[in-house]
Amino acid sequence: MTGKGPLEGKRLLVVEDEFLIARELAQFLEDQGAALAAMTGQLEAAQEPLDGAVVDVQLGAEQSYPLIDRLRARGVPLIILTGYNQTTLREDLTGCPILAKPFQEREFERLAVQLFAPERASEQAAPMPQGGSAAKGGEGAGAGGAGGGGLRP
Amino acid sequence: MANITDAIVDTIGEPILVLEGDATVALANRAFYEGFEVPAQETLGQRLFDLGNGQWNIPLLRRMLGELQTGREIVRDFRVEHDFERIGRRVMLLTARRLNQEGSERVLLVINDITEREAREERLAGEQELSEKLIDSIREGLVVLTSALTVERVNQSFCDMFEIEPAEAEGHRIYELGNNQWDIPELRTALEEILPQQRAFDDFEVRGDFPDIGKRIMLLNARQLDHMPLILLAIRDETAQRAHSMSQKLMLGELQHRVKNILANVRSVAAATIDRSASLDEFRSAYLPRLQSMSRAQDLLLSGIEGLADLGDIVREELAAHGWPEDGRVRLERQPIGLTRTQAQTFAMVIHELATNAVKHGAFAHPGGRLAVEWSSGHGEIALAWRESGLEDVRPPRRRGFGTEMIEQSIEYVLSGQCELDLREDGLCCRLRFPERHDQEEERE
Repeated sequence: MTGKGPLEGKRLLVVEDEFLIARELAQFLEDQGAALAAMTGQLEAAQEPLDGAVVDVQLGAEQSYPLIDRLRARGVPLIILTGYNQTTLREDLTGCPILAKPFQEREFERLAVQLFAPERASEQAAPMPQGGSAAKGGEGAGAGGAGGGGLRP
Repeated sequence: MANITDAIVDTIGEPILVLEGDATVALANRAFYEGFEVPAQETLGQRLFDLGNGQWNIPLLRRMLGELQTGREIVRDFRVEHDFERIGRRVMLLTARRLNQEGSERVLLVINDITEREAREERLAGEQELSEKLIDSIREGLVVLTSALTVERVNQSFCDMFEIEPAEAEGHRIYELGNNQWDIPELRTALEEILPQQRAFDDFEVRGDFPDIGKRIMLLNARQLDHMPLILLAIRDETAQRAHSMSQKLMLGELQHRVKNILANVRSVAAATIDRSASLDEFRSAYLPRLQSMSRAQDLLLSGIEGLADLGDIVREELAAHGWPEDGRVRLERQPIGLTRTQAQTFAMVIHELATNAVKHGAFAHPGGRLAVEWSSGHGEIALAWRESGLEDVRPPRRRGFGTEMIEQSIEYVLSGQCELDLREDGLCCRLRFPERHDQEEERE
């Protein structure tokens, strides 16, 4: 997709060990105009500059807390992905934006724009509601993003 | 003088008889008459052995008196057990002494009735035995402490629990056991503050770190005895119980994580299938079989040995689900290879996509098509080759579907393996290889 989207120009990292979920997250971010820095199921963090990352807490038998800590130390905005209750998450992370699996596209989009492209969050806020009004979302290409979910006919 | 003697004899609590040399009763005291329920007139002047229908005709008593006649001065504490008609069974300690008055061979016989005493002693011994066996049969660790908190006794369970010998414990202050291992502040609080005030406590939790047996969580019950300066302390080792409920909790969390992951996968497959479906029918025919395949993989994992699913089973079930049981056109390897949860889930989806492709465009879409699947493991690696043949003029598909993406990428992404898709003229060839086991993979099964 070459169209613009609310995440246009943002370099994002997806860390999720389940291939299907990772590719859906990645696809979704790309559909919103983001450039994928990497999509990985491993704990190695990308060294390159990032505008944001979506990180699953549980990678196989490992937990991704070390990676989360490194990214947070670098000031990279994070969305934490989890299949757990928030109560079983490490305590200092309960304040982080959390996306529960299985995730809602609309919720993911809202969080992604808010965190990874805060400067565009306000314009995004208005056209959020369902399908039909999406055309108002701005210059043509916005329809893809605001339409909310890669659900193209 | 005689009066004084009579008075003394009469006031003494023990039955006393004075016998003539021929065992005729010369004198008996009140205690005798009352104790043996016989009146004086039936006693005095009678031979001892004839008294009360001969109930004193006791062989042992005869023997004892006989001994005095052989010259002995006194026979002490001669134990006699006898059943008396009126008063039942009695146990007596008899002491007989020759009186050596001039011209007579009189004998003084003092009867000490110890029936009650012996019964009491027996009861006491019984109670003692009961408490000893009670202490030893109890599964909880039990410590009997003096009021100075010195160990008086420990039971076997306590010794087993804390790997200590009774001799190492008994006689020492409880805090000093095993190099002061037991000097635990909570235990001091319980024994020195709570117990003296309340005389008992239950389920008081104490945590100790013991050099030999590690960290322990103990629940203590204690009782201060009322009639003896002793304390009973019962100790239950709760460590295993706590660890068990902890691991239950972890397992539940793990289970929830898996369920959520499976749901998320189901969702992702749905989203991907929707993206590539032009109609609801198309969606249905692609999505539902994918769901079935995921479900079959779960079944195989559940029924497999040690939580592993057999690679061959996955291949066979996928082919069968696509209407292709092993027959002349399909040739399969036999070697069993166990796949872990993550491996099996990913592998099953890849095989599913390969089989679906074969039915739609490949070996199973044409009359002459054949399939051979071979696999092996070795050098830490599992390798599989899926070879379709017997086709003519095979061309690459016009668009790359979700299935192709799954086949090409998931093995590398999830299993750190490789996948090569080779579209030959006579059919598709797919080679997979991935490490036998992921290092830190596999969730606690």
